[in-house]
Amino acid sequence: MAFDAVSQASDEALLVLYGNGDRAAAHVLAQRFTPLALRVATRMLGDGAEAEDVAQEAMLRLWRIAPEWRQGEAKVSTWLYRVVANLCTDRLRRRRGVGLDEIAEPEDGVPAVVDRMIARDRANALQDALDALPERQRQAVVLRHIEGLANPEIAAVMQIGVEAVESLTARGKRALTAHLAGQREELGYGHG
Amino acid sequence: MVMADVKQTDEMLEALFDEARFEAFELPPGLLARVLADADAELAARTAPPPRATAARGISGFGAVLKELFGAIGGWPAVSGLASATVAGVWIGFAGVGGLALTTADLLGGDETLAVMNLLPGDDVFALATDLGDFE
Repeated sequence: MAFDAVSQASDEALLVLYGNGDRAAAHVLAQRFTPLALRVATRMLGDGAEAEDVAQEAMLRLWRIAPEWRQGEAKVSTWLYRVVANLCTDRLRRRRGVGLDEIAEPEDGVPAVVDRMIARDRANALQDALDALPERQRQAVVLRHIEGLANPEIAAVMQIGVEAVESLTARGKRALTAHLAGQREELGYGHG
Repeated sequence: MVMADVKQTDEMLEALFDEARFEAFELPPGLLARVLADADAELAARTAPPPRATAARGISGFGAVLKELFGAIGGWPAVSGLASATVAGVWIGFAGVGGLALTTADLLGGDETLAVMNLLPGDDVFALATDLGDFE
């Protein structure tokens, strides 16, 4: 298939093409989805090097699933978001050495996060606040408010109900607000 | 936190989300190349022929050819049949065909040999053959 045609093909069509041995399809898929994987992994992990590893691993899993991909079952992006989220969760569990249920509520990490925010710019302030959220809340907030996914798609990614997504994002936003309260002037929002 | 503070912090949070959403996220050097190398490797692994059994056992060159030929002709049973035929050929070579008449007679059980057996009753065919022979 000509490169122009490949570059305009749908994600699913590209994955099927790659599954049938089309290298050009892999190039387009890599350019479309590697930034997505890296972006989400960076927001989830707060560590560039680890995020790179996760992005590469997630893309490798995409290459491996390609021959068995069943069209119409899921969006490629949804599938990839899920893989990235799961890989990040695994790494965060290993990093902390505790299960998800045992992770402290965000209030526990506030002092350290606020101290670090003093010398950082807005982007880092947001990242620090995100880092302090429990994984599920962080995942939901990142997918909803930074990646811009709709709640039903987030529900598909996280394999939970839409109501649970709404609850996670609401709690996540409240926690972020609590983290960032009092930082408006330092972050240049004091007069807004 | 009073309501006004909450509202202002919410607005700041939305602004931070907006900035994060539109933040240019450049790929680190080498990442895309590694991702594509993985894609190529997966493709190569899927399309490569399965490894040959002989190669897996470390047999190569002339030995591998002999092994393949051995298998192709049927293995040891076929080789034993070939050996028997070879020995029989050598024996016939030394003993000559004279002895074959005796063997044939033994096999057929009597003095009658293939040469005098009349498989087609009547002499028509032989007569025809004789007649044809006369024209040559």
